[in-house]
Amino acid sequence: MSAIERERVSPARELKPRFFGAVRGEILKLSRMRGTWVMVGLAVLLFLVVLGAFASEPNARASLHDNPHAWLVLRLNVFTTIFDAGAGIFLLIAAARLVAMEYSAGTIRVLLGRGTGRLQLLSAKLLTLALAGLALLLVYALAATVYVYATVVGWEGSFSPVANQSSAWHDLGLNVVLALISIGINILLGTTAAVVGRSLAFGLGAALAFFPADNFGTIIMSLLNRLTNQHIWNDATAYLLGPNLNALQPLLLPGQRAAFAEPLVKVDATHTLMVIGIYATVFLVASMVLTARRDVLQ
Amino acid sequence: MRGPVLTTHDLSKTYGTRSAVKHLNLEVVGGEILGFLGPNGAGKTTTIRMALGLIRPTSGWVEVLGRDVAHHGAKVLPRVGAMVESPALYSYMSGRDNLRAFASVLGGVARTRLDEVLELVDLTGRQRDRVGSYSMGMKQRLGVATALLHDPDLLMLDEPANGLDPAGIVEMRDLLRRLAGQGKTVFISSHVLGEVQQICDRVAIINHGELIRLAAVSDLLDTSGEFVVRLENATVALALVSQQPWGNKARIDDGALITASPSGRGRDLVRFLAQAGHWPDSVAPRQQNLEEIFLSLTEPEN
Repeated sequence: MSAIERERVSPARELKPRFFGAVRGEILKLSRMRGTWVMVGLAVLLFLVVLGAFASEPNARASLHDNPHAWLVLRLNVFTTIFDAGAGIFLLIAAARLVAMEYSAGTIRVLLGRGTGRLQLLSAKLLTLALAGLALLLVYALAATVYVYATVVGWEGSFSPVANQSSAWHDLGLNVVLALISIGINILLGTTAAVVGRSLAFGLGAALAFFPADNFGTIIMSLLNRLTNQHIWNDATAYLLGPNLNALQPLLLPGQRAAFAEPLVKVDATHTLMVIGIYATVFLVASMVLTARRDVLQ
Repeated sequence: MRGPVLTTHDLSKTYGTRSAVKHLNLEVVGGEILGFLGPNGAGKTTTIRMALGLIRPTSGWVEVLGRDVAHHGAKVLPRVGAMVESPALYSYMSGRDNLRAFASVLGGVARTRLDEVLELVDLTGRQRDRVGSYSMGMKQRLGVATALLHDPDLLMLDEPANGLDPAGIVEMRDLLRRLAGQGKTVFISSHVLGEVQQICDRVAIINHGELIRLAAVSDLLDTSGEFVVRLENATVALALVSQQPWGNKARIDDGALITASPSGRGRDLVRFLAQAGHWPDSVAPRQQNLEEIFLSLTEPEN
């Protein structure tokens, strides 16, 4: 190799793993996944279906004119539910794939074998997924805003009927917080499933089965409660992640409804946030400890 | 760099009750090509994984470029290019994007460097294709390109000739020689003993996790201690030699008598045969190939 060729690479002694370099690599990997763009396409399609449903709603225009607050709250409720479910599935799949594929393909050997720290790599993946989640939220919020603005201005001639709904805008802030919580917990769940199983099949399977299982688990608990006459089954649902996430929206935003199963006993927002926080901590600590301590045998 | 580049200090790895590597002490000197040989399950890959910080030793430690890998991996491993077992690649991405993804972790790789390594492994024409569509040989070459991205001082390749056709093997051999010529240290584990014999300066042979031989290839090939004797009535001579304590492994191969000597020196063998009336037409030290040496050292009875 000539001297000129050698100059094209940083002198060896300067080479060291860089966190933001790793993040760039993760963004490249995520953006090159065909599944990423298929899911984005499906999300766009779903959004258009929702808009179509709103457009075909009878008396929608009259509803906006007579009660702009109710009109706006309904839309916020639907938009938030759709985002939580859609972005949740997207991030579960993306997180499981981004983490597990390193083990399935064996590329974890290459990355760690050149000095990248295990936790540094995990953090880069988490940050990349968080950025993807935020980008989704931003684009979604922008699209929803454009829809609301265009509809209100088109039907009412100005945006003021909705702009004056200060409580609705306060609710919007809480909806964003709910979306951020959903983004965070889905990323952590998908990552943990992938780290535990260290395979794409297990990571995807476990991540996607988790919420259906604990939502369905609520029904099973209810049946057990009736069969055994033991209230402990109902009490246990207060500690399931999915039902607590579902309950958070109506607890923080009175008047809104949960789309899926809620705990079978009365819980308040503090309890719900605590349960979600504990799950998030367990997911994060488990994925960090397992990543840091286990030998890489793939 | 002429000092030790990779040193294992009493390195051991145990899985449950099974010892994969036992008290391995090995030193790879800068600028050499060292072949790491051993049957399947001998502990080669486990050793390489410990050298790369992928698994933790049960005891002992690995020093790479003068530093303990377990504590200074982030400093020294960027100077190591490695390919462990099969090439590990993102099959859904193009060859070039694979290199970009790996390059981004350490940074400092110019776009022109990607072109260089792709050209070096002859993948320029297929760089935009998905790796999933590559042949095994192409994946192998891309794996080597990945290892070379950061112009490493130490190159560790696990079975680099896997999946390569004969022309690819020759190219790989030339590439490794060129890299060694540039002062890089190459550590290769391989089953293709002919290749190892042709390109390596030294070989380390490992079996059941233990280092059983570390020597220059030339020394190893010269140490069979046997002679090829061409003479009339080789069968009669064999019967005579076989009765001697030093001749119990004598045999006929391709019409020639293969035997050790009473003292290890050729002239004493000639004297013995001549005294018995078997004048040799020629006597030459027998050179074993690496495969024979490897098998003699690693076969169960040995």
